[in-house]
Amino acid sequence: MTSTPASRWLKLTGILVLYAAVLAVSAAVLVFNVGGGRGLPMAAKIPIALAPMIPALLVIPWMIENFRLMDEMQVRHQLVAMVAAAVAAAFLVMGYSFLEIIGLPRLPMSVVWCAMIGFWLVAIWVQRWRFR
Amino acid sequence: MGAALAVSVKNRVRELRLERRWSQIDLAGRLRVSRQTINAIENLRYDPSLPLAFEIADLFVLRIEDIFEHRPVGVATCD
Repeated sequence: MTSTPASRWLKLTGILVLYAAVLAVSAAVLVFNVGGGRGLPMAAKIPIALAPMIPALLVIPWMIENFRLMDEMQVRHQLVAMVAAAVAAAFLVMGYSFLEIIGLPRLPMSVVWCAMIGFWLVAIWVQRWRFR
Repeated sequence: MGAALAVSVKNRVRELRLERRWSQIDLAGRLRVSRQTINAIENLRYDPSLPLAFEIADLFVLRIEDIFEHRPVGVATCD
């Protein structure tokens, strides 16, 4: 059965709702100390902290399904955008590491991923604008 | 040292589509690609893969060489 765009977005919404629910429970236990979560041993805290990753992993088959449904030119645009984003993020990291030497604060590694997504969005927008 | 032939591929996709009074969206739907891809092919900004070229040829009931024409535009050499 071929999925429709509406059904695919519905599926993504379901994944995100599930992720948000598990994240809320995890944060409630570990951050807001519901049920005395902060007092739990580390061996119990680790799986609770990682629990939101389980629904987050469902995004992978969703992304692969969407990638497979693209036509050949769209796939090429995605690959070009991903390469551009990876290179831009690499230069950002390299440049900022020089700034850290002179005293700028260390940034969390999640910043790299966020920057890469930002660069990817810009690159995709440029590709789509060029081939509109 | 090697030499690569620079090739410019031209096509008659727009002409054949207009003969049939199809919009780019109609053609895209028949080929299961995006309208942007049809637009890029018609404007010679994207060369379709061989499988897509065969699909286009099948759709128009023509041979690939009746739709796509390659024109060598020069030889690039590399050491």
